[in-house]
Amino acid sequence: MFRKIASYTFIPAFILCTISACQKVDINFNNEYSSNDYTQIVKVDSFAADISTVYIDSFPTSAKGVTLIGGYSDPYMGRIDAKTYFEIGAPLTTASNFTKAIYDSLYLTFKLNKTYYGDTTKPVHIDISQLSELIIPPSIFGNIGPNLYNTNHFAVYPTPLGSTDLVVRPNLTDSIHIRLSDVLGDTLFAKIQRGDLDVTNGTNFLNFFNGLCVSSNANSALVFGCKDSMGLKLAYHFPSLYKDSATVSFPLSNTTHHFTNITVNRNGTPLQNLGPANASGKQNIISSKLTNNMAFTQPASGAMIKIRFPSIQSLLNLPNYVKLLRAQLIIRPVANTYSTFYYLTPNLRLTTTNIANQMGTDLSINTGTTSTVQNGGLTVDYLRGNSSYVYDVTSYLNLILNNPISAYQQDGLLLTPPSNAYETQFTRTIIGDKYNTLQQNQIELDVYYVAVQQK
Amino acid sequence: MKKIQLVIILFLGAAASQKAYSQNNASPYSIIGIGDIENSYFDRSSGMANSGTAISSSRYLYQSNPASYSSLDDHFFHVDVAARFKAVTYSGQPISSTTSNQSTDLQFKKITTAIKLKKWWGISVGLLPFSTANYSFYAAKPIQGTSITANAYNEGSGSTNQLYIANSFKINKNLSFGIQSAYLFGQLQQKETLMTTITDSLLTTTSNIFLSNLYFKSGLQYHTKISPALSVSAGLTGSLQTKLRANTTLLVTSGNTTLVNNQEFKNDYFTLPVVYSGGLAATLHDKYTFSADYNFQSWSDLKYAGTGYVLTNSSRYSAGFEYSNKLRLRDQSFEKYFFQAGLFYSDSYLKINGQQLNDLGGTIGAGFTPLRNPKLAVQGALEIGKRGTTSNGLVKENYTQFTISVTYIDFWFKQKKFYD
Repeated sequence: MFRKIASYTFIPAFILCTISACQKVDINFNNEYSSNDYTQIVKVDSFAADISTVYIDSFPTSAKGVTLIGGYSDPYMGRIDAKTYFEIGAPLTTASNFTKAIYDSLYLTFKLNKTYYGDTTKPVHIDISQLSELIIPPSIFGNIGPNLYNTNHFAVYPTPLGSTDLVVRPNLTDSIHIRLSDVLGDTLFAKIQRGDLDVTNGTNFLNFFNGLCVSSNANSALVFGCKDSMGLKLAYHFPSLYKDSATVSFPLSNTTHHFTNITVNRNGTPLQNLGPANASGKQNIISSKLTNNMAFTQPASGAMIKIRFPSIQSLLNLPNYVKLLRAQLIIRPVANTYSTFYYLTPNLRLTTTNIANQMGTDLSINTGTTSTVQNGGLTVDYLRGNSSYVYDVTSYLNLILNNPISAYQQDGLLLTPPSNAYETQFTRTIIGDKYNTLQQNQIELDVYYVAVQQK
Repeated sequence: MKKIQLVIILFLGAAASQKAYSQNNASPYSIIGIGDIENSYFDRSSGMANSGTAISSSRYLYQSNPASYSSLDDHFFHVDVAARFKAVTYSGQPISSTTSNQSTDLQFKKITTAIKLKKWWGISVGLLPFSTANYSFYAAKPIQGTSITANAYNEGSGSTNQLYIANSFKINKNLSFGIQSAYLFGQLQQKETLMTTITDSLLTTTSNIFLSNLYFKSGLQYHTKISPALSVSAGLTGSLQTKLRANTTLLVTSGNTTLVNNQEFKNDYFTLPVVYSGGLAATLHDKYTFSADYNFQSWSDLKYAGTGYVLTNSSRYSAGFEYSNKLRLRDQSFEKYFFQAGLFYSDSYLKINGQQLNDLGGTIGAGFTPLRNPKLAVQGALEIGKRGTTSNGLVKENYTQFTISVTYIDFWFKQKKFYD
């Protein structure tokens, strides 16, 4: 009987269960009826992002592959001048080849690297001076160090070897040539013709000719960059029916001794008190509250912006807070502080830092398996002044949320151009803090978090 | 012993089939309350629009009224299983032209057993569906503090069921009383999956509401013969207001990371209203049966309301007719087959956007008992109806469902008798 019962009832029922087919359909007649509203994504933008300007004491400028020439006066950053020092090497010559040669000229050639900052409509004054001492990097623990810094400088002879005033159009001009003293040219040519040790031996040549300094004067309104492929050129010819011209090159000899000295005079600017902490009347960090609700980044002139989130820990105490989903930092340059002359820094990175304002790790973003340093993705609006840099600071905020003493350690982020541009370009960005009078200038931290109803 | 094995196997099979409930039809209205409350009994009354409150049988189990089991044949063991196929077509403004507007399912629905222990005492045990929830939809969820939204996929599923034992007593020749004691239990799951560019991983919130409590239903049936050809009956059933314990757990995950896992998220109640039904039936020449039922659910007293909806008193009217062809041998009769038809109308307990949803439809049914195996009976019922409306932004469901149930009857404990 059992078998019969099973075959008549259970088995058909079982088959019905197992073959049960289902075709579903999604219908939203009113999602307000869903009581599963326990999870919310909430955005808050009320967390403070405190900004300040930090003084950069010194930084290596040697071996950067860039020759900076010029200077400019910035209403916010002060008077900035750049001098480039470098050594040139002995030419590869054989004296017998020059027996009948006649000296023509001596000149220095620079090839532009298309970077500039300032007013390109005004002429730049350029002086080429001969060093009166050897370029020797500062010592570290009694030994000659590997780097030369923005603060280093070396003596030059009072009379420049050559000077010029020229209008540089960085996007059009390929290279510039500056005629140097014929006295030096004659001297060098005579040594070449004689096969003098001063021009055939590198060490002797360096002792004979310590190097060059390229500088400008206070009238310049432009700083521009050149490649490090410059060198002295000595032009000569052989007397003949057809003038047979040629040149002897004195190339840049030691890139590690090729560096830029940068001087800054911030008198009369909001940053006039920015300086070494141990200097009288100076502060190595100035809050934006003391500089008209603005902060300034131009590392090449010794200023960079520090951004801190001192109250972010209170995110953890928000009602029903569960997890930080995303944090986006929008940095807005202050309108009217930038123009096509004083253009905004194209790329600005955020780097972790601490109370000592030392640079840590650049904030990156992961796209698939690759990690890319964030550069802010600048959007520029010269017309209305609605420019901005945007960063994903989720990982960083998660880091400091997990470190309760982060605020006491004054952890923060430094806003600077990427390395090399950091040391070799004068583009600057001035950003507004949360209290800047114009909303379009205000820094904004947008925090998206998950809130889950607890009861 | 084999019968006990059979019962155990069938119940296990039924328990396993509860998983199939999650595959039930999309029912957008089941988002409210504890889902769609089942109006069908999946018994012989299905072909008569479930108008079975006043009906009882010696051969068939009528689930509507617990008093009916005392009319079963003595010392017989009954087993009923039923399944239903349902197809729904949706219409209305929320139905997108780009998505399907049809849904189908096939489900095991019930298993019940009964036995007449004494001449005056019938007992039934079974597992019946009480309510089901199944809905899913995409919606834009606002991100607070912004004007932007996240894509949210909302799903709801689950069911409540009742495991009951019903005792039915014959008080006198005409009057029966029955009480059904059920353990009502179930789980309703709501799942929200948030997809947004703000986060790489899906944000999933799953709440499970576990409902349970005892639920009682009592019934009376009165049968009398007006004449040799005409017998009439009346039935009444009622349930008191019952609070179901509703324990909610909450699980929130972000990708594979668990953010919240709260097993004691909420301890609450969901109250079932006072319900009563009344029915009348008349049978002519033991062939033609007319039956009419009225059912009332007092939801308004409970004051359940939400944004745009309120649960309101519900009334259901139904009437059915049956023709039964019986073979008669002396004082015994054997039913060869039957045909049924019925109509029903109900104002459901859902009032949305000021519109009380109604449910209107008709049924036809048929069944037979195989001559070769009279222990078995098979019956089927087709129901066609519509629920809801397309006005006020609501959804109308045109549905067709076919219920098939199989009844098996056999002697219970045929004890050998020894004569010295």
